[in-house]
Amino acid sequence: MNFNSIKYLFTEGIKNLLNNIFMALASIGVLTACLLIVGFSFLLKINTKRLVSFMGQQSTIIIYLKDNIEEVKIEDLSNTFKNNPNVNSVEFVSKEKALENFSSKFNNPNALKALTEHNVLPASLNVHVKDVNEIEGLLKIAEEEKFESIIEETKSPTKYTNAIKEFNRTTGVFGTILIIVLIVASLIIISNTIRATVFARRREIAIMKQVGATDGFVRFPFLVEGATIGIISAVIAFSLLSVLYKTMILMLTKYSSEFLNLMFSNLIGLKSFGIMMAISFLLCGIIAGAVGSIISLIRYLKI
Amino acid sequence: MIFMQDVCFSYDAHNNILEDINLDVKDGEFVFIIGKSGAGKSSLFKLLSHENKPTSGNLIVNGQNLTKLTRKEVPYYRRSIGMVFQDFRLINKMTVFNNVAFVLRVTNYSNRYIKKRVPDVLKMVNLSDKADKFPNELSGGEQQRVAIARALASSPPILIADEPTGNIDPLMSHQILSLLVEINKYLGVTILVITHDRNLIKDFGKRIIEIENGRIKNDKLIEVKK
Repeated sequence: MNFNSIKYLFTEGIKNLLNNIFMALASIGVLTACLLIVGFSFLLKINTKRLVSFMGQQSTIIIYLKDNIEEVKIEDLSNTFKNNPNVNSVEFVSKEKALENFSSKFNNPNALKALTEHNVLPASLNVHVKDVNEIEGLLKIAEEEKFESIIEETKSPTKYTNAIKEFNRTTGVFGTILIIVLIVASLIIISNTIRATVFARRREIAIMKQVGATDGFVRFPFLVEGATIGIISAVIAFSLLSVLYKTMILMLTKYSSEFLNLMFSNLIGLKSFGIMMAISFLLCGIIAGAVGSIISLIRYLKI
Repeated sequence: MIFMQDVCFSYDAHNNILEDINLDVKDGEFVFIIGKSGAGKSSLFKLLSHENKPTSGNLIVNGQNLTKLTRKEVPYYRRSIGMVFQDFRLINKMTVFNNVAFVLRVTNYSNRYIKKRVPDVLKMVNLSDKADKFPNELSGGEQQRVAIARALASSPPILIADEPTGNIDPLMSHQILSLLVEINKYLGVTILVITHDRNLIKDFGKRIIEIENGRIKNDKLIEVKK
């Protein structure tokens, strides 16, 4: 195919698109929505992963100790955790330190006086965990029989992290199903749009085939039409996604507490995924458009 | 140029549309294929245009065995034959010039060649002054001449016409056939014209092959009565 033919076929493809503008706009709308949802699902997936990892770094198991136990036993328990590869650090909080911490938080003189007279707060070991996924395993160590005599109670952020993990899993499954459904839907809509053009030009296609046009030559303008729909959709979807995501991060960091602010600062930045996502959107758009146009042409090429 | 040996064609196993067709058309020959409706003329045309494949037998056109042609080879085979249809098959939204240029664009000719070649073929069919008209602005006879110009644009060695006079009045029909005879005479193009109109062709003194019930009934050269 020479340059003249490519130029001619490209122009024909754009003409097809303009002649069929309302259907093309409908396709662009659907494909844009699909790409937006796919993009947000991807960001949700990446960000929940990052949040789970962040929570993991923040996660601390608090092991409350019974009163009046020998220091050797506490040392033994502490060393057990310290030697575990999934533990970042272990911090011993004595009864006195616990009271001090408590006092700094609650400024009620009467309550403090009562507590100071008889310190009911237990000493504890704060075990800082490296990975949230390992919390369950570490809790099992605390439940071992040899530590039963020294441990009063354990508290862990398992519930919280489990909720994030469950959310991650659910969005993963739901997101994948949604993406598949949307991809199929956009292929159907694009191929229907192009089918309208193909139907309007079926006589022309038949003549082309009869005078010796190859399938590739007949297909080219429709591929251009489909790919143009894909490219326009990709550009709109990426622009919308960037603006919405930037605004969302701005709002989240602006109106949240210090801890949440720290947490949200872990969300992936636009710069990290922008180029990769723009290229993926373009490729997805072009492929969806091209596949849609090929599907709609199949029966008309059998001459 | 066109060679058929025991060619049969059917859509199903029981009813043969064409049966034992044996035919040899030489380079530069002009042949009329006649027969009543349903005799199998159009099926023969579809075999030659490779819309259908023979069920059995050999069909060789321009050195290519059509029974063994692959899907990829079909477009290139079709470029070697010009086709003219009863319903003209012009694209109404294109001018006469572009209808003729269309076949050259499809077959990857350069713009420079197209600009030179299209006026030449339009001149051949006497339509130089209609290049900017649209098919709807032309008479039936003129539309068929555009179709003939389009069929000739890529200089094919063979031209096949399926009922080229079917949609035009008798006077114009005679002119169309005369034009095809001239093309055959001066350009040396091998021409096959399929028609049901016996009266129209009797004055041309050409080889006439008559088809009846899917078989060749007669194959003879008709002398022109002076």
